[in-house]
Amino acid sequence: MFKRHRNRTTGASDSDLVLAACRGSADAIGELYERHCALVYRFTLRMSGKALIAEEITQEVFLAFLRQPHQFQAEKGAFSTWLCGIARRQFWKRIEREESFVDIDAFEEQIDEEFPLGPYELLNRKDAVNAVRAGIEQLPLWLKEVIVLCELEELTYPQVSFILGVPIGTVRSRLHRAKARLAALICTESACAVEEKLL
Amino acid sequence: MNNRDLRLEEALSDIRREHLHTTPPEAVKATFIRNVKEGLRPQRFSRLFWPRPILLGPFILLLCAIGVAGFILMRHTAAPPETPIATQKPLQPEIHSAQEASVSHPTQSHAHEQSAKAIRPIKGASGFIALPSSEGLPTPNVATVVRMRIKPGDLRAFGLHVSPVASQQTILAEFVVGEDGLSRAVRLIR
Repeated sequence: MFKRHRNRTTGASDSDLVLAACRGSADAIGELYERHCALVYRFTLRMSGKALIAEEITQEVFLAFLRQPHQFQAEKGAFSTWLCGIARRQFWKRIEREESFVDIDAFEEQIDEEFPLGPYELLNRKDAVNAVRAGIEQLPLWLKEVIVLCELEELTYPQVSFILGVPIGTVRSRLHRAKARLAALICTESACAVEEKLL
Repeated sequence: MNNRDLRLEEALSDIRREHLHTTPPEAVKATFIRNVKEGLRPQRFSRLFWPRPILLGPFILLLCAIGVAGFILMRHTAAPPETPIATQKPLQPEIHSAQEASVSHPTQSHAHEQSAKAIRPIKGASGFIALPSSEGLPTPNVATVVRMRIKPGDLRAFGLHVSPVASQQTILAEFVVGEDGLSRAVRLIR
């Protein structure tokens, strides 16, 4: 199926590699995989929390690309962004199929509530990191994906907007809400930590 | 940015650092690269796409076989056409000889078998029987053979003697029609 071309793919751009992949270059496909598999895997792993699901979706994303490589349009966005969009759709399909999605949006936000400074000072950085890590896992998926893409993968707003298929303003507002929730979680965790230390 | 946001940013920074170090297992990469280099589709893909042409071939063959069998069956069981079929034939000489003969007597048994039996003795070599109704008509130069399905009793209209208890079942007959449109002879096919 794929002809074996010996191309110099190391310094080539993603668009060039995609063109070579369309022509059946196994090296180009391998190079694209090397460059972008980590992003797809990290995103799906963080979203699902399960390594097995992340591995399967990573495979499916690249196989989807192999089946229809010409569907990528460089003028619309970066290849990594396009792959991430496929990964997201695969993930949501799986969630809907397995009906394992539990909406925890009933979580009450405490965005504007003021917290005393004392407990923050007592909370060490490790506790905060653990609290935020746990908080990310507890976020609703539609907020979690924004946090993962914007904060952890450090993608730009337009890129995230392309992946999620929503306006940039929606990305901003979701990110704001997600951060507010995480900050509230830090406060809750800090309060617990203070209580433990006081006891 | 307040203290809470600062702590959040610090925590996110730490999580980001460890997040970016996450890589997929080598087994996933190896499987994918092997699939690509060998030009093989993964098993799931094969399961989805290969059975279709494999099942489609026998299905098409089965449909063809059913079609051919049906066509052959129809050819064997199809009734002759109801509508008259006309063919131009030169008038055969035996018609004239048969025309001179008289029509035989009808019998009292079943339907068209009876009428056929009654007419049979005066058949010419071609099986045509001269119609009594055509007596005195000029011999046509060109005649048309018209095949049609009629009731045995209808032959009375042509001067033939047919049993009154003849069956209502239709029989196939060929009429020799002259250029003047008048029937000269008849032949019972079935």
